[in-house]
Amino acid sequence: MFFNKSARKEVEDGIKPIFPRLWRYCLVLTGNKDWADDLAQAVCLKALEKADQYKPGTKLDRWLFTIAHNSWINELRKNAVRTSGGIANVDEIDIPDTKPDPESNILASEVLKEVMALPEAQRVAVILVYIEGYSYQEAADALEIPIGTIMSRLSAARTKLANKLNDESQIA
Amino acid sequence: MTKQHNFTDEQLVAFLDGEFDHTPADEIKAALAHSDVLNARLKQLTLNKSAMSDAFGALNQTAPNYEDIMGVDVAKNAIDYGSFMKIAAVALIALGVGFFASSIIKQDKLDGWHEYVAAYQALYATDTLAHVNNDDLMIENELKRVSAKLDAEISIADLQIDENLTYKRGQLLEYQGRPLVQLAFLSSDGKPVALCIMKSQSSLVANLNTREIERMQSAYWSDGNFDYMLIGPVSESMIEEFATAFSQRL
Repeated sequence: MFFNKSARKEVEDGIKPIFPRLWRYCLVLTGNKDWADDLAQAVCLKALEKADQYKPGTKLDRWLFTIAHNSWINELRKNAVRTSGGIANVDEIDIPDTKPDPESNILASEVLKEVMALPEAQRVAVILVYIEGYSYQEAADALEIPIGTIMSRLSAARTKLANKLNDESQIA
Repeated sequence: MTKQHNFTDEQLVAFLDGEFDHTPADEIKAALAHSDVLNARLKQLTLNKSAMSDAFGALNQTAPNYEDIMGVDVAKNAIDYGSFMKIAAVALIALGVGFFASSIIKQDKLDGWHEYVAAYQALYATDTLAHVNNDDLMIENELKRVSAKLDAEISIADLQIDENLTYKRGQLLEYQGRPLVQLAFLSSDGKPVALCIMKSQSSLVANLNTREIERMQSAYWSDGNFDYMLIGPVSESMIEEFATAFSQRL
């Protein structure tokens, strides 16, 4: 087997710093901490195993996200839904206070709760575009869907979030 | 001014996101100068990105430790990935992460022989098997011979799971020094389908999963004693149906 040392080293060295973001993406995909742990672990194992297929110098985080998405869609979601009845446990997801003022912390918790309550397809589009900085085209390519679908998912997500979160929290 | 505009929410959201290639940005900008309604709609769709950033930034801090999730000191084992996989698998089992993770490890471990089986099966055509018409005695003897290599007993009755799938022949192959039994079938519309079996190297049970490989549908599972893969150029629902039947029979 062709052994791509450069690719393998970049993957081995690069996974750990990306891991918190990878886990976060897995949490958004699965909606459940236990599944996020399992999925993130599966992605890392698969990435290490397939490291020779990684193109050095390209974006490792996006390669890992693609593996996560494909693993979730093609292999793991079926089992997760089967074992849980398809119910994501949104209430168990909580975050530490990171801001000095309590209001900002409450708002952050509320925003997270509402994003996580979105349908899976919408919350994945939201995290890719608004948190991970994907362009519409990049998100469409990553999820293998038309760009119009990304637009409608983001639009639907924004409408729901606007309805749930009060006007005072909105900043232009 | 309250002039009506027919911009869709998708276009307005794209405008807010700066995706000007996907929205009539100039028209929206012009309309915003004189439309209170449009300004209100835009405000309604505006997202608090600062709060979003705070929320998801904080979420990063709740991520588990990489080494804890992987169960080993990854850096020390990275050079020998084969050892790493074994250690990770053992550690995870020891941690009792449950069937979900077990099935993941199982899937990864099996990738190697899946690929080889798929590549071999891709060479099969209807004519590869169409001429094979062994009688029951020959089939039983052949099954006895190949299944003995797995310390298993497979009878012709075990393989008659559906009237649309006819058993043709059994072959003894080898993958990395381990016996691999290939049981070949033809579907009622002439598609070659293979059930491949290897002795399991662990006692992990893996639920039935499907995936497309080499432009064919495949199903794979493990009962803890044997690892199975069913593959052929048939529909996913058909492969899942056949695989389910085999998993209940074998």
